[in-house]
Amino acid sequence: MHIITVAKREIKLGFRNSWTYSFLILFTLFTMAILLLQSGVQSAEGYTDMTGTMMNMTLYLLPLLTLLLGSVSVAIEKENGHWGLLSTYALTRMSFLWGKWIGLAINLLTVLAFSFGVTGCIAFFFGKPLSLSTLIFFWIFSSVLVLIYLGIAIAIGALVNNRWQALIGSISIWFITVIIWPLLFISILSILPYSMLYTIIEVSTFMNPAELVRIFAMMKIGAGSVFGPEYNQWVTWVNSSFGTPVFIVVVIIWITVTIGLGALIWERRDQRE
Amino acid sequence: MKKFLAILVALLFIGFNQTIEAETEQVPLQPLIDETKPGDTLYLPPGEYIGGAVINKPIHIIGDDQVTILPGKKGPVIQVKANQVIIENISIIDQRNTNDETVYIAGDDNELKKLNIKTNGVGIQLFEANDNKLYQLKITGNKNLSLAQRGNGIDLWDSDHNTIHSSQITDVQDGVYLEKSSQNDIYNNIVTHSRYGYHLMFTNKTTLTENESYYNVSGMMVMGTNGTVVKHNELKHNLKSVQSLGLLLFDVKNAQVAHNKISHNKVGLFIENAHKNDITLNELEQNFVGVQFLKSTENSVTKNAFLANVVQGQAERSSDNDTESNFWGDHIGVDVNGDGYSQLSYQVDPFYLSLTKEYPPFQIYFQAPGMQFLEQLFHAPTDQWLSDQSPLMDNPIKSETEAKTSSIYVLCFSIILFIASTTIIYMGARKK
Repeated sequence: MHIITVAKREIKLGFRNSWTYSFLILFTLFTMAILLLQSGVQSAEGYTDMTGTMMNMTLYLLPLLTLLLGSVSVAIEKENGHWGLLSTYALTRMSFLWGKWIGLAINLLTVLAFSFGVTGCIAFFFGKPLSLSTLIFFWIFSSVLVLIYLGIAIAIGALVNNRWQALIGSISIWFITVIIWPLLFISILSILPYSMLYTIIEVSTFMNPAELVRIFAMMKIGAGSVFGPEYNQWVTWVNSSFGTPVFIVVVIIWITVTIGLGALIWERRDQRE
Repeated sequence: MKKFLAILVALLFIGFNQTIEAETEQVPLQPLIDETKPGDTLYLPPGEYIGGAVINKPIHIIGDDQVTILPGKKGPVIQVKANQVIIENISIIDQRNTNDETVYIAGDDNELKKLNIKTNGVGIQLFEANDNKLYQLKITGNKNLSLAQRGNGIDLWDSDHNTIHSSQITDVQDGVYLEKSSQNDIYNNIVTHSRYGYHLMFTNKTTLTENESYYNVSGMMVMGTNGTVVKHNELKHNLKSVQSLGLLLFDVKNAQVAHNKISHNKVGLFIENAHKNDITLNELEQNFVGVQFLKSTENSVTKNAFLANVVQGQAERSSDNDTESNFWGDHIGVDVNGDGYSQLSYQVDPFYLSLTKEYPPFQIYFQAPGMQFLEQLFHAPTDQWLSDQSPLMDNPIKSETEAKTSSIYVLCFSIILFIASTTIIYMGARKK
């Protein structure tokens, strides 16, 4: 029950907060700009340059914003003493963090729904070609990214003491998972024997939510063949009837593990002090 | 399946009543052919005929509607070993699992038209056969067989000056396969759901025009040829396999490739070890990779339109090609003097291609956000780049695609999202 109370409070705070609306405006403008700026091609179904650009832009923006909002939101509770007050009640760290996650998730998903809703309407009235499948694809793609990165954000918030640390932590995670990921692996793995290369890349992909969601999405949209023969089995597997359920399970594992670990380490650290 | 069952029942029937019924149910074709004099016409009334027939004189065979020829004990269902034979309006159903061809032609000046062929192997084999005309054919393979087990739709070996047109081929290995053959003319055909649509090996002066190739592993494979003409073809949706390509030019010299529409393929146009080819006015649209060069020189790639390909082009060890004056959908050019060409050049960095060539598992980073960041950091030497010094400002190919707009479903779905989100915001923010 505590979880729901925390979540409700988070939703209310969120929608009365100006950051939610600045994020809403930013993301709506961003979605519109990309969908309306197409390179002169009439249809935009499947994996095209438009879809590719849109996916990359989303990958740049959404994880960063989610990480910042989520981690700072938890860190602020610690800084201004709200958590100190709440902890005098029988409220565990775990239910506090889960409440935060649910509340923020509802806030962010609402913002995404609004952005895609407005963009879809505008595309329709301006006569821009936008297929229903593309719209739903991006909506789900963005929502899944938000849900996973929010888990990480909450964990960062649980581990830090103030919002500056939260900021640094968030940006580091974003920079590693989104920006320098290929560079990191290409530089390290080029030294290793070739036989290990594939296994390490395979395992590492599951360790990076941005890559995980991107690769799954590309395979689902029918672009699996660009990854080459090495990943042929993946493509067959993702497009089999197990593909989506297993992906959902992996996403749930990501969220529960990050939040669980966050709560656990936070508790251990407080006990030590 | 129904036909197959019918044949099965018929066969059983013959088994039991061999002496009486066999004559009326299924007629052997060979005696009928033997009775026909050279130059005469053999009319086949509706019914089923037993094939395994050899034609060794110039005759004309016309089937009435619903004439079906079934395989004989062994060998091709119909074998043409003469010149000037015409066969038309016949269905041939060959469900055997042997290596025998369904129709075998080893003669010149023959004509096959309006044939409907179902085969588990090679549909029509031309062996050292010249000046034949094959048209309005429908060849269907067995889609339950793997690509390697199937045979080619139409297979030409050492055969020159043949014409193949207006035919439909599905579920075979290669739709039209030509080897060691010269000056054949292939136009207006459609090949789908096969390995390669059109496959040329060591041919001379083959003409491929107005053909279509959809949902195959690859659209057209042109290999080891000289003087091939590839014009006005449509190669689309060849993308399921990791080897998928729209059009491959491998070890090709002096080909003319023009006015083709190549879209939705894994790689639109792949040019490897090819030299002195002229590639112009093609439309490459919405492929994962538009054009890819490998070890190719002295090709002229001009006035093509590259639109909405995820990666427009990749080039490696291919610096001596003329790749000027193309239209690149993602290029923002500036035309200062108003001649229709941009003064800002367009360049494609081979970084990703050379990296994944050495370490194929890194292909998982195709178009990853971090990969683009990396490409900015490490440029390959610029002399290896595919570059266009004077890109066109406007698309040279007038697209006939009608303007599409979003469907009403998009609007409904968007409105639902919009109402749901605003309701949640309102409910969340209001004071209780």
